Amino acid sequence: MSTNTESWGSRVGLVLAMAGNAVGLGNFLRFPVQAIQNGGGSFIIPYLVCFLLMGIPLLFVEWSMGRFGGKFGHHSTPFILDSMTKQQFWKYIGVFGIFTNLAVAAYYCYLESWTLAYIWHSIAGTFAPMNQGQVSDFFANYTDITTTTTGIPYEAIIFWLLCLFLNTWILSRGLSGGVEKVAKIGMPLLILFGIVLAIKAISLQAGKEGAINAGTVGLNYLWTPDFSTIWKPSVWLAAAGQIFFTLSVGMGSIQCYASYLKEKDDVALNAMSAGWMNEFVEVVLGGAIVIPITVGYFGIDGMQKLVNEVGGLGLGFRTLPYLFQQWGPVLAVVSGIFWFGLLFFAGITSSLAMGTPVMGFLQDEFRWKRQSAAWAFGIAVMILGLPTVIYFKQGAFDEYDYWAGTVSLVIFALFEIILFAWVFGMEKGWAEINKGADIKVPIIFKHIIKFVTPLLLGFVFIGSLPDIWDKLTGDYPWQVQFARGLLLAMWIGVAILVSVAYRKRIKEGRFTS
Amino acid sequence: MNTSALIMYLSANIVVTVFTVYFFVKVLKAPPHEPIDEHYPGAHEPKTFDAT
Repeated sequence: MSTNTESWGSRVGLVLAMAGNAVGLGNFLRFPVQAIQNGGGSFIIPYLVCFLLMGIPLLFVEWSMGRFGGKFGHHSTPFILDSMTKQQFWKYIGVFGIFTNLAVAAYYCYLESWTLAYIWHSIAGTFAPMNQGQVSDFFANYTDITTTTTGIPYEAIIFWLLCLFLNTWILSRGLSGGVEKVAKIGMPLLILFGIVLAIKAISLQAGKEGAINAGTVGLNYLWTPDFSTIWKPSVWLAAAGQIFFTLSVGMGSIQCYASYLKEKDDVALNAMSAGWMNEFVEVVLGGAIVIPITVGYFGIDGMQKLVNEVGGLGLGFRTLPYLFQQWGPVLAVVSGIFWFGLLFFAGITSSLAMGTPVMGFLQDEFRWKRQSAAWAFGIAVMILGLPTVIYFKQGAFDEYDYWAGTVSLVIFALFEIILFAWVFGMEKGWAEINKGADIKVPIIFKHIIKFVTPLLLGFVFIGSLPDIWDKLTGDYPWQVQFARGLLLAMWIGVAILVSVAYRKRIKEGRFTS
Repeated sequence: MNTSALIMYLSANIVVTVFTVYFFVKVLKAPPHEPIDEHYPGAHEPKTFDAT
C-alpha cells in the first residue's frame, strides 16, 4: 500500500498549479523570439491552430490518463501507463515520465537560481553603475563559477544550492501544504508583475528615459503579419514546437498532478482553464515585454542583432537589467524585482511540478515517506545537475536541455497519444475525458485526438530528425559527451527501478492492471 | 502601429483573454462534485488483482 494519501486542497489551487507547471521562462523569452523569426503577427495563426489541434487534445489526454491511473493508486507514469493496457512494455515507455522530470529539473533549477541571484543584484544596485557591455559581461562572469560578482566565492553555486533547498523544502510540505500554496501566491503575483511591466513597455515614449523608439514600435514589428510565410512547413513546425513546449506536455508532470483527483472530478474544464491561462501569460504578457523594451532602446536592427547573438534568454539576462537602469534608480530596482520575480515564479511553479512524479513513484512503489522522497529528489537533482553548473560554458547545460527538455518530450507524447487513442481505445478514452466533465467537450476532439494529434506529433518528430542526426554525428567536447552519457545512465537507472518495483508488486500481490 | 499589426495584436489578445477569463470563471462557479461514499468498503484503496 502506498504511503501517498495526498490530495488537492481546492480546485482553484489545482488549476493554478497546473497553469504554473506550464508557464515557464519560455513564455516570456522564447515565444516572442519565435514569433519575430516566423512571420511576426501571422505566426499567431499556425500557433493557435496547433494549440487547438495538438495542445488542447494532449491536455485532455494527459489529465484523463492521470486521473485514470490515480484511482488505482498510481502517481507516476510507468504504472499509470501500465494500468491502461495489459502489454508489459508500456511501463518502460512511462520511464520517460520520470526521467524527463529528473533531467529537466537538474538544469532548470540552475536557470531558476539565476533569477534569484538577479533579484538580489537588482535590490543591491549592482547594475546601476554598469554600461550595456558590463551588464552583458556580468552574466558571462556569473556563469563562470570561479569568478565572483559580489565577493562571495562560488556565488552561482550558492544561489543554485539555495534554490534547490527551497524547492526540496516546499515539496516536503506536500501537495496542498507546499505546491498548491506556492501556486496560489506565485501565479497571481506573476500575472500582476507581467501586467505592470507590459504597460510600462508599451507606454515607452521616444526621447524619454533614453528611449529612441516608442514601445509601440516594437509591438508593431512583432505583430505586423507576413502572410507569405504562413504556408511554410518550417513556420508550422516552429508553431507546433512552441505549443508543445509551452504547455509542458510529454513530461509526465500533468499526469502526476491529475492522479491526485478523485474519480468523478472534472478534467475537461480544468484542462481548458489551465491551458488558456498559459496562453494568456505567453501571448498577452510574454509578447508585450521583451521586444517592445529592446526595440525602444536599440531599434529594430539592434534588437535583431541581439536576438541573433544572445537569443531570448540573453535578452532577458544580458540586456533588460541595463535597460531598467534607464528608468531611474527607484524604477530600476522595482522593475528588476518584478522582471526576475516574474521569471522566478514561472520557474519554481514548473520545477515543483517536476519533483512530484519522482516523489510519487518513490512513495507508491517503495513506500517512502513524503519528506524522504522530497530530499531524495533534491539530492538526485543536485548530483545530476552538477555537470550543468560546472560545465555550463562547455555545453553540458544545452545538452541536457536538448535531449531531456526537447527530444524526450516529443517521443513520450507520441507514444502516450498512441496508447490513449489506439491501445486503450478512443471509446474508453472519450468516456474518461467526459466523466464528471463540467463542460461539453465538442465531439470533433474525439476525431482530432485519434487522427490529427498523432499526425501532428509525428510531423514535429520527423521535423526534428535532421537535428537529432546532426547532434549524434557532431564533434563535441568530452564534457558534452559526459553529459550525454549521464543522461543515458539516468534513463537506464530509472528503468531498472521500474523493473524492481514491478517485481515487488508481483511478489506482494498488488498488481494493478 | 500599422493597421494590419493592430488588427493581429488586438484580435489575438482579445481571443486569448476572453477564453482565459471564460474558463477560469467557469471553474470558480462550478459546483463542487459529490464526494465518493466514505462508507463504501475500499473507497480509497487501490484496486488489487491477483498477479497470476
